[in-house]
Amino acid sequence: MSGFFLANPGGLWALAALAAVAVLYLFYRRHRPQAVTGLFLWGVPRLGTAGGRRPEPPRLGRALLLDLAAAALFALALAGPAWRSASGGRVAIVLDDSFSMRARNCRAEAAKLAGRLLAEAESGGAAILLAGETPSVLAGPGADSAELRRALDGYLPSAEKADLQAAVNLARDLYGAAPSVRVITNRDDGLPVAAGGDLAVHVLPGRGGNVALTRLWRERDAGEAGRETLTLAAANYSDSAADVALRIELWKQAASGEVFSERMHLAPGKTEFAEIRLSSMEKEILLVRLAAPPETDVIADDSLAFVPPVPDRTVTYGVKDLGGETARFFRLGLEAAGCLPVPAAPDGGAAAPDLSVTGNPEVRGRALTLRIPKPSEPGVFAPPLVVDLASPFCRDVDLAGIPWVAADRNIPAAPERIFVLAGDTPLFWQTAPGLLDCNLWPERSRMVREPAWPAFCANLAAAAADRLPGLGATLYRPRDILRRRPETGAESQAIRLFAGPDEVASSPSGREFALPANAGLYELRGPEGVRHLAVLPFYGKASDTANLARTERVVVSEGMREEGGPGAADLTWLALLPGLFALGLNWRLGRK
Amino acid sequence: MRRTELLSLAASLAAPYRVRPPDAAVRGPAGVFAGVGDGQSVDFHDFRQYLPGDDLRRVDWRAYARTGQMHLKLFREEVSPVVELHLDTSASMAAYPGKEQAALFLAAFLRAAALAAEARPVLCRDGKRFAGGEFEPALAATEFAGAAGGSAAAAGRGRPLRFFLSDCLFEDGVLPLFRNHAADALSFCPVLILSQSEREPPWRGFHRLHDVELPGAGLDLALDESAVSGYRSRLKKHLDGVADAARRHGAGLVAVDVPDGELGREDCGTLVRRLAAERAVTAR
Repeated sequence: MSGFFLANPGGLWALAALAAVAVLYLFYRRHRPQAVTGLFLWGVPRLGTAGGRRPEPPRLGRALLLDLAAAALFALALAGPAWRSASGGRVAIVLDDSFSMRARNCRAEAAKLAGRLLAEAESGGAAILLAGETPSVLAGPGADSAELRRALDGYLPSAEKADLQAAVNLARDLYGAAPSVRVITNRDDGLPVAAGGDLAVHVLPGRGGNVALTRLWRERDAGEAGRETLTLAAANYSDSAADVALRIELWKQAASGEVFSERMHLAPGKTEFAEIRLSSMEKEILLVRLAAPPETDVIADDSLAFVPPVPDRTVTYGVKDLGGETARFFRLGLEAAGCLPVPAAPDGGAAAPDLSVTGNPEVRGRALTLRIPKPSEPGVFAPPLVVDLASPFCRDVDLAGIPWVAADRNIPAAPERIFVLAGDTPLFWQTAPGLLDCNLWPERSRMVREPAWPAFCANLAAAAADRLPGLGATLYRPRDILRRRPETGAESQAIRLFAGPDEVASSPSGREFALPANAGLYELRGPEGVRHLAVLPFYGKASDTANLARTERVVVSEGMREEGGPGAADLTWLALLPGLFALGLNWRLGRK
Repeated sequence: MRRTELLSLAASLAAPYRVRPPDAAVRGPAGVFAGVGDGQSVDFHDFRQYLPGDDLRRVDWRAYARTGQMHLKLFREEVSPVVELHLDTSASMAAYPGKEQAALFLAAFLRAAALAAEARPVLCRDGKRFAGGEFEPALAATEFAGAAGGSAAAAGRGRPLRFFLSDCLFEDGVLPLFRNHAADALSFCPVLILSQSEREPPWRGFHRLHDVELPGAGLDLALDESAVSGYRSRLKKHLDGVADAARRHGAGLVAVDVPDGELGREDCGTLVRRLAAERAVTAR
């Protein structure tokens, strides 16, 4: 990745000064009045303004051009022009996958910065890695820009810890050479060191307390009629060593205020459970909120949880009034749950397919109906659909039978994929129209959801690689994975193996080929359109780090501002000096 | 320096000087200048034969004794001519205090020098003539606010000694003006008064130039060295035209440079010396 880039593109807003300069020239009379006795001696006279001062047309003379040039150059200097030297056209972006990246909008900032880095990278050859407890590949080096963007959209930090150094090492092994590694994190300690290529660490602001509501159950109390139990789990992902004091607030739909609160202390890195026993409020929708000290970030997605009544497949809630606060209550709760599409205003007729608000004479008012999709209702599987079995909506789904997925495999007009997750763990997924019978290894598969399909495959292959006895001499059969994929077509289609951008092996028959002897991270590419079939991460096993050049320094920067990096040269002076020269020249010419 | 002080200074500095007599004889009342006719001066002029009725006291009796014929001795007539001081009252003459004061000073100085020569000074400005006791009040009340051009004074009788005090910055040139002035004058002496800034403009940068005599006329210029150089060349060409017009009409051009600011005594002395050097006035 080499070429010109702007470290602070926001500085280009200063180009608006050009308009200001032009306006100044338009309205400001630069010519000082001077009385003379023989105007004819100065040249051809012309009539002035008899009616007083009026706006003069901009004089596109030397002075204006010099001023405009100076303003443009200063704006360019403000944008921080820099030149990044070539580093083999390989850039790996390592995203901190720890949960604390969800705090203070870090995730969005990181995705934005990563997107900008991807845009600056040359086409192709870029990869996105997640630095969790174990590193993983979100998008491999063979991914095109659309796939990279899609993977980036699916970036959702979910690890309890982030091992940045392992991710940097993985990036290095991924390319087998000296890549440009850009690490995006919110930590300012334990930063990685470069072991080849150049390394720049972007430290986002946002480190601090970090608390999330991770689980929420609501169930009838089997032993005591009319009672129910609300169980919640909260985790402290704070980077600090201090406890965090929380208050659990429980709100109900009809009440105007809080109905219950309880204090909870969370030690760093610990998950605490709390059980709240309630009188049965089966017909009530509850809202759970974690109230934390102001210096603590509460993960916004989970701190406000919508807890429906003990669920059925289709539940109808009687609602006396859906206007005002009640509507807002519903919207907040549903947004917090994050599992169903939410209408902007839950009034009659404008609901999404799985959330409808209709008149209901039985409850003497309007009603909110939540529907969990069933296979007998074709078309409700709007792609992509993620069914999170850990979500409160799926508490009564029969995990053993999966009656509405596994029992009926002939789903008409089904979408591309359906994932069945238990929290972060994928249990099943289906690719229409058949069902891939995949025996996953949940302990190795830390999944992000649908948009991160390449990473999903990478981890799948990682799990497969663990099962292969030995390296180098093992015949790897991509058919084992491909046999159920309808889009792969005929088995005779060629499959190639890449190490970074280089092809190292191919199988014309698509049946089998020998893995290279070197340990590394490879990418299998199948027929067009199915590029990311598998990635084989063997990182940390046979890397020869002795031959890798060490980077001189690690650049740590604040916020979005990139201070440079080993391969970047600051070119601000190249814009600043000509700008000053233009100003000086204009001043000098004006004095003469 | 106030006008009254300036005028009295001019009168005092003019004491040793008088207006230079013209080369040609003049007409006019009795005075000190040699007239064209016979008069009562001591300067011998001619002989002529006695005619009946001639004054017998003028008969050259010695010549009668030698020749037996009666001849009269004729002596030069001494006259007092008119000295016209034409003052350019255009606004450009007041563009700089020094220029305005120089015009007034020179007019007062030439008046005193004319009186010293027993000539009759007349101030001509704004189409009017001011002589005798009207001269000095009219000069003191002069306002420089007219348009560009020479003064068109009512013509007097006889052939005057004519001075023209002006900056001669007329876009159409001075040739017709000089022709008119020189046509009926015994002598014509234009006095060209230019200030320092007119000779060498000090302004640089962006200026909107407007003519003090042409309201509404303006010219936006970036006054750099090239623009000023162009001005200098045009001014030199214009002044060459003025000198050529004066030469063609036998006028002795006197060019004086004055400072932009108010005149001091030293500046007034310099003006007097300049007039004397150019023989516009002579020592008594």
